[in-house]
Amino acid sequence: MVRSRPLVVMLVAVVLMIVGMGLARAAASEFRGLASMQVAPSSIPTLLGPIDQSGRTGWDCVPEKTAISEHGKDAGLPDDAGR
Amino acid sequence: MAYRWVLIVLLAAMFQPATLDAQTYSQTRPVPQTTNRAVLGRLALEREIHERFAIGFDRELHGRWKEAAAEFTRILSLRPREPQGSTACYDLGLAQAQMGAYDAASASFNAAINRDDGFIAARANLVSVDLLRNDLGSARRDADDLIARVPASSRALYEHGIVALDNNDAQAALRDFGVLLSRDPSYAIGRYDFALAEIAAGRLDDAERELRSALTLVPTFARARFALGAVLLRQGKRGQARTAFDQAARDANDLTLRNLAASMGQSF
Repeated sequence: MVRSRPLVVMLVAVVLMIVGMGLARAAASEFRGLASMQVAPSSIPTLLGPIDQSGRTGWDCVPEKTAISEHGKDAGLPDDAGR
Repeated sequence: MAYRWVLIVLLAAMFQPATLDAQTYSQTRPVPQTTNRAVLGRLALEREIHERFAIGFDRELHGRWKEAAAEFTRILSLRPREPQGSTACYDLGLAQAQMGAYDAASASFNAAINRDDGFIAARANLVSVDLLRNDLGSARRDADDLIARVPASSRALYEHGIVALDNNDAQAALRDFGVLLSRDPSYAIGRYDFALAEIAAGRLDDAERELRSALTLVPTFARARFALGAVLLRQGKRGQARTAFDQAARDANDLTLRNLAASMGQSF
């Protein structure tokens, strides 16, 4: 009985070590998951503005032109990188 | 005799400006040329639509969305012709979206598109509203329809790319943001989204390079810095990741991102 005590202590230590490593690995995985979850795409562009009664084909319809524009700077895309 | 001719020329010159003024003066409210009850009724209806459109448009320009919505709802009840019908649906959808009534806004933008299939502004706003409603299925369908009609449009590419990222379609997102960046390589947000697509495709080294490019363009781009931290963490570069999270916490204006970055920096 007395001789087996060091063996039991050693077994408990090994079990605790394995549990500890498992917990550490789970925590690391959770951090990675948490970080990845927060990496969201950039914002939705603001809605295109109102159109008067001459309609989208009317003279200088800014929202329709913005929607069609091939140039990023004229397309009303989000520009809040530094904020 | 010569004196008389000079007088005639002077008098003619005196009356000329008045004549020009009269010519440029527009008659905005023509007097009806009939007493027919049906014709007069139709003219009154058109007048009401015209006036309400002017009021609703002005209210939207000033952010008075509720008043604008009431005007466009009334216009639609009067069954306007095109392009007023589709435009009233569009403007109503815009007011509803600004008031947070996204389901109603979606219905209004769809109604605008049903009346005018080529209404690209309505299609673009519909995709935005789908995303605001968190309806990824509709967003996907509507973004596909949008880009099929205007494949070169920067806004269509951006919205399609965002929807692709939300749907974990890395290849579509890479294509969309790739085209955007080929046109404007200095668009930091485009680089950030392109990097997210690379992360989704499992190309962590490329994503790291892309995020570093975005940060070269805008060093205080906190969201990109945070994403870089996440990539470095997945690559096992814990020290660099901690530095990136700490920097993101310092740069972020968004309180949630700042707190998250700070706790990430301190947790490992």
